[in-house]
Amino acid sequence: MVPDTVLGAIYLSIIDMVLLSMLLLLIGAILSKIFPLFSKIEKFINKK
Amino acid sequence: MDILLKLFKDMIQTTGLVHLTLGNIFLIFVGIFLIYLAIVKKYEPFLLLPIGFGSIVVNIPATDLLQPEGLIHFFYLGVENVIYPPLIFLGVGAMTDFGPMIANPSLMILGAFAHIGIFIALIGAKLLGFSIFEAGAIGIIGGADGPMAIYVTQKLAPNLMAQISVAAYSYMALMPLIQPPIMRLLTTKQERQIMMKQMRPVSKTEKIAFPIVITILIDLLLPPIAPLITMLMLGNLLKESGVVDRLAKTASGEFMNVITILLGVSIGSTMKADTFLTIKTLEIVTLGLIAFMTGTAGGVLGAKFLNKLSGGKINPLVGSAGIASVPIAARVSHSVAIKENPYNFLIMHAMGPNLAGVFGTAIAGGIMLVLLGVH
Repeated sequence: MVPDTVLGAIYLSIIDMVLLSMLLLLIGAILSKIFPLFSKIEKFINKK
Repeated sequence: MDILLKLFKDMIQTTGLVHLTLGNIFLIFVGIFLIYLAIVKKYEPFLLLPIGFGSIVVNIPATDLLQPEGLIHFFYLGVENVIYPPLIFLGVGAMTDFGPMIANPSLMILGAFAHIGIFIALIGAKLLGFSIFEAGAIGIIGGADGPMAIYVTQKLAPNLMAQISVAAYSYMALMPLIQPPIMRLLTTKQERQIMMKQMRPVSKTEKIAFPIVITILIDLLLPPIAPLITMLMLGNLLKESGVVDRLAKTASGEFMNVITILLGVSIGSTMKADTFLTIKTLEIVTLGLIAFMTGTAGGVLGAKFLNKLSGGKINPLVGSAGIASVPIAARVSHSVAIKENPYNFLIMHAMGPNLAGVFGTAIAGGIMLVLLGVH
């Protein structure tokens, strides 16, 4: 539990910012590495 | 004659006139001002017009509209039970093309940079003596996402719903005034003229896979925001699937309009003189403005950093769009860019960080709820 103090607010902000950045980078990585494969599969199926 | 006088006095007592306070009159004028901004200045009329009208109506005493059996009280149940925010997200999903975000995922991190304002406001609120829960809810104003602000506030500090929702929606409407000076201050003319390379085309399969993958990922990792993300992605799946056009049109059209009216009037109705005109309101409104300004600055500085990393390929103006508020922030980026170079159509490039900002606010709010132990 986060303490109800200014230090607690700073702690909450830092953890939140770090986790937010990590999650957005994770979504970004999925979009850049995995999603282009969907296009390739779609092209492959359309060729067949 | 006495009977007539008594009857007249009794009649006057039943009107709102005798109960009207200076605070009521002030907030009626605030409501009229919001309607003026909506009609004359065209600042987000869909939001400001019902909010302004709600503010007028709720400050007319003796109407019973907010009493437990009153009409607006029933409207407000949708805010109190956090029903409207996910339904608004359904409509937003059904009208949004996530293609620019899928095509350029390297800009997703701007959704984090532009949310620095949330944390600055959070710490500021704590310094002013608000509880950590209230400070978290105040911070979310900086996400520039009205439904998310309502969602988090209802969970963390429902006592501040009036101030936070009004601040969030009003600043969203005023973004075309707040953001450009900061954007110009932090960028050079040369940077503002950068033309970004055309994005890759996004296939239909990618667009259909997107809502499914994101729903699974975010609902698994952050259950507290599952109602919002689920509805946003459901709306988007309705749109992208191409097989339920009727449902997609309903979700993004009349259904969304009905919810917007109910939500707007409900928010306006929170501006009741006796609870709204306090020092706390002034503090929250100021913190909200600081959150918007620092968030805009954070986004622009983050985009400048990415521009350096990419060797000058990213226009820093797209950074401010990471603050969410789709598509207002992207339109602001575009309008500032086009003033520097009339051939620089930045809107689609700015939509990527703008959409990342929607996820950014939801994720930041979700993490906050988890860390504060609220579900």
